[in-house]
Amino acid sequence: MKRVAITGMGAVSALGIGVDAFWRGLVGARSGVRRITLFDPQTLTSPIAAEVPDFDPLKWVAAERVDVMDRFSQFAVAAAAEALRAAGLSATDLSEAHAGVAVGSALGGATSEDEQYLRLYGEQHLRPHPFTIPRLMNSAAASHLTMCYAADGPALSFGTACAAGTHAIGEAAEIIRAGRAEIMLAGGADAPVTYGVMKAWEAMRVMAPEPADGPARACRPFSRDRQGLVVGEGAGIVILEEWERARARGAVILAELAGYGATADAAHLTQPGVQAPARAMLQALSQASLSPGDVDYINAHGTATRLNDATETAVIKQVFGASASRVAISSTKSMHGHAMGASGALELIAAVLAMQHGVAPPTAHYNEPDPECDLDYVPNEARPLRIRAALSNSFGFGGLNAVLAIK
Amino acid sequence: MPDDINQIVIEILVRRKKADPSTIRPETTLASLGIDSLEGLEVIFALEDRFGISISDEDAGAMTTVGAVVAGVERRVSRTPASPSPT
Repeated sequence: MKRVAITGMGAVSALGIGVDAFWRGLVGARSGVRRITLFDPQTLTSPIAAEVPDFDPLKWVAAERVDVMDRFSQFAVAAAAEALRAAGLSATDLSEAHAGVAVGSALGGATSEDEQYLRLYGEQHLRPHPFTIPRLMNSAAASHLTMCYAADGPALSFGTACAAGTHAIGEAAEIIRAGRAEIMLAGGADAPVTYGVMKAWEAMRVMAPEPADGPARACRPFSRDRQGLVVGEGAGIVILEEWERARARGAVILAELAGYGATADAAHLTQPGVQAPARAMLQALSQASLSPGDVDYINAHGTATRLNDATETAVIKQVFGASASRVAISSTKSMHGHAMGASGALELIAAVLAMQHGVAPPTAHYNEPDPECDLDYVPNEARPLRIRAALSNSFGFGGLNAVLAIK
Repeated sequence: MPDDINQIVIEILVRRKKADPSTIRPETTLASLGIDSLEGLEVIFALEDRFGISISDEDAGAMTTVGAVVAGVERRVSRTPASPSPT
């Protein structure tokens, strides 16, 4: 069976643009959660989000292309540019290799959809912008990556809610293992900070309220006083490359994407289960030829809802048994927010960086232990840690679970 | 007013292009400005929005030169009450 190397990474998140800004934010336990600036949030019960600061698409996208791209596609293009530069790959290389693309997104072009339906329903205009469909389709980010970087191999988009980026990377790795492509640009992108989407989240009553001392500490995964999730946005793209190809061209291999598991709860739309996520973790370990004792770090799904964090703790205990208490677990969503389909990709990047640097990023804003969440969540401060192997969990709404293993 | 329309149409046409507005003549084709069929849709949309007019698919298809676009807009503006819709 072919092996899969990660040879480049790109991140656009609330912690800034680029992998360096992302990592500095994570190890500094810095919060990317702020008052919403993308629209007037005063009628939201919680007017906060983890927005990408100062994003100018014209730095990555040609002027004549920018109008046809929703914000989520622009994020993907920016993240892919960084990942390709880091991998030392050009569009010519991608074209010659017939490289593929796999991008996950929970909501696709939510920004365009919201703006244009406001024109139509709210402002009574005759028609929405003619690029509304090409902007909002979930596959738009994948299409733009193929066009911007001449990647003309298999190109797919994944719409598996909050696990979409993780599924995209896992399935892209399978494409390489099966010999169907030697290079894949894979990850996730979402830009869900729109009035319509935020009101819809608000209606589900799972949003963290704005704390009295300001937005920064709103998202408190695994802490007893956690009050819900904070919506984020951004993109994470990794370059996956067939191992021998990467070695032959002298590429710097950041990590091996060694295992992938995917399962469904097949039970409830929003209430997570234990058995199916546990099976996904076991599948990822098994494919990577790892035992739980080999894993030193888990980047948790950790949304900071009451239910997710308690259930995820139970899942990890089930899989890790006695060694559950010795593995460092953190939810970096405490800092970059829940970037929906981009989350899993950003969190895999966080895990790779953790392994490279020998530092476990913290769960920020952790205030007090919860009897239902009684593992080591690396509270508040980054911790030096030799990480031999790591897992990244994503458990999407609708019971769609995906787990990646790196070593 | 017609001069204004000419000027606004040209501004909309070259918004994302490197073309020098002063070199544009009525017989200049949209294709020669690098406006493909997809971008043409956006031009029609911007004109409708800017002038508060409606351009049918058939008429839009016939607007292949700058002069034809200006004439088409002028014709519609003259029979539309002067209240451009908000952008």
